[in-house]
Amino acid sequence: MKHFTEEERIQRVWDKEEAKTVLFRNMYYMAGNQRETALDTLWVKEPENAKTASYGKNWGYYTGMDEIRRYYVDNNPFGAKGTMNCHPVATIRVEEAEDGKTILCQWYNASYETRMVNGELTPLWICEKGNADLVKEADGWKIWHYFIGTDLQVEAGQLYGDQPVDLPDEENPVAVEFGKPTLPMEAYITRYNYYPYPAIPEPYETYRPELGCGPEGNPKYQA
Amino acid sequence: MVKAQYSPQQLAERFIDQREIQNVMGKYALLTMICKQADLVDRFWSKQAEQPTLAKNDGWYVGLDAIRGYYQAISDQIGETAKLLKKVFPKQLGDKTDEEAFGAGEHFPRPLTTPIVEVAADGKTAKGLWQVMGANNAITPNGPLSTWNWGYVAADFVLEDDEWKIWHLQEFTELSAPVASNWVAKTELPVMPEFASLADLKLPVPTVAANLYEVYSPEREYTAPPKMPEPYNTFAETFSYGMN
Repeated sequence: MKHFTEEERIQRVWDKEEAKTVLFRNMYYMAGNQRETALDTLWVKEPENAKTASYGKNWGYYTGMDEIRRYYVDNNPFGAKGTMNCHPVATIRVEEAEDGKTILCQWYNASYETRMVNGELTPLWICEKGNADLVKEADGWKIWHYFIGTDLQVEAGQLYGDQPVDLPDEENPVAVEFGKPTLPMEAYITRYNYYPYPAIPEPYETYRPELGCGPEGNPKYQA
Repeated sequence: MVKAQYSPQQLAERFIDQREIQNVMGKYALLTMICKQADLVDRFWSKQAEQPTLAKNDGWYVGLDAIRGYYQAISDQIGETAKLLKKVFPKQLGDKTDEEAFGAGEHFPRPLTTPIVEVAADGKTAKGLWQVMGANNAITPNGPLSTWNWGYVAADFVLEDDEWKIWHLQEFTELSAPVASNWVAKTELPVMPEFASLADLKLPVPTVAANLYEVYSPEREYTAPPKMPEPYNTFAETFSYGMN
């Protein structure tokens, strides 16, 4: 493992704090229904990064900032009276590459939402494993790849045990909301409890796709 | 503002400040959980800053006396509830003193998540915002009841005698609903006669009543969390979580 000077170590501590703050800000923008602002201020802008940016969930990935905007902003299910969402970022772990160019993050959300499902306001509990790969651009740490693995969602006041084990996508409000991604694939599987992708961040030298949460790091990815 | 550039030494100091501010709020949340509301002002609030304020969903408590009065009223409610519990459960609690029974049946966890802390470039003040995954486990006129109490805490801090102290605090409930309930469909619970008298225990009205944050209901317009702290140089150039 690389040896860092005292000054480098302080900078790396600060880098990780800033990376966490980016993800925390993302949560407040999401709760505040300021999705466009989140994309404009927290996500990558440099052309090569924007081209390879991704937003994934269990059902695949939106790739490139235009496609991410198509999903995240144009198909935003929140904003009407009675809707709300809160996806707190807890239990976060963060690793910075030895080269200082990227940071891998993972956290867990115990979340709630109220959204329209089949024309009715529906309260949901949602448990998610979140991952993000951040890259350093000229104005700071930016989200490059973002992946939310939904472990379970259940209507508030209902028993999770009453829900079919393999809930069809068309009956799953989270799947319906995710729509048809750029790269549809089975990206996160909840059938057997814990799914090892995306990996828990570990110390690393430099970014490689298999370490991150972009589509190319998914074991089921086919070029 | 243009983001200030800091030396490694300054970054280390700012990291320590951020950590200490998170510790202040962590301790504050813990003492709230274990029914030590009566201690909160002395331990955590600024005694020197101008016009300290505590904001709740329904208004502002302005000045330390009003803030202390609010916390003391909660503490008094906990004490009165314990006395009632002694009467309702004489076998379990009848031999306890009021002091020993204080807090029985009450538990108010307030885990703080998603922290954003910004320390002013001049190092004299700081701002913080947290999401709260809270619950009220309490004795109510409906009997013992667990209620989700999720929301947000936002605060301005001031450095006073080398310690970070709370200057302005906003504690807003976003979601309040009995555990295991559907919060879109309002839950009606029957009043239990043996606990009905608890409805007479009231908190002091805010110094300035105002609808600062509406608790969720299906009729509520979309409501954003409190504004996020942004990097700033001096308090004069940023917004305040206090009453403007």
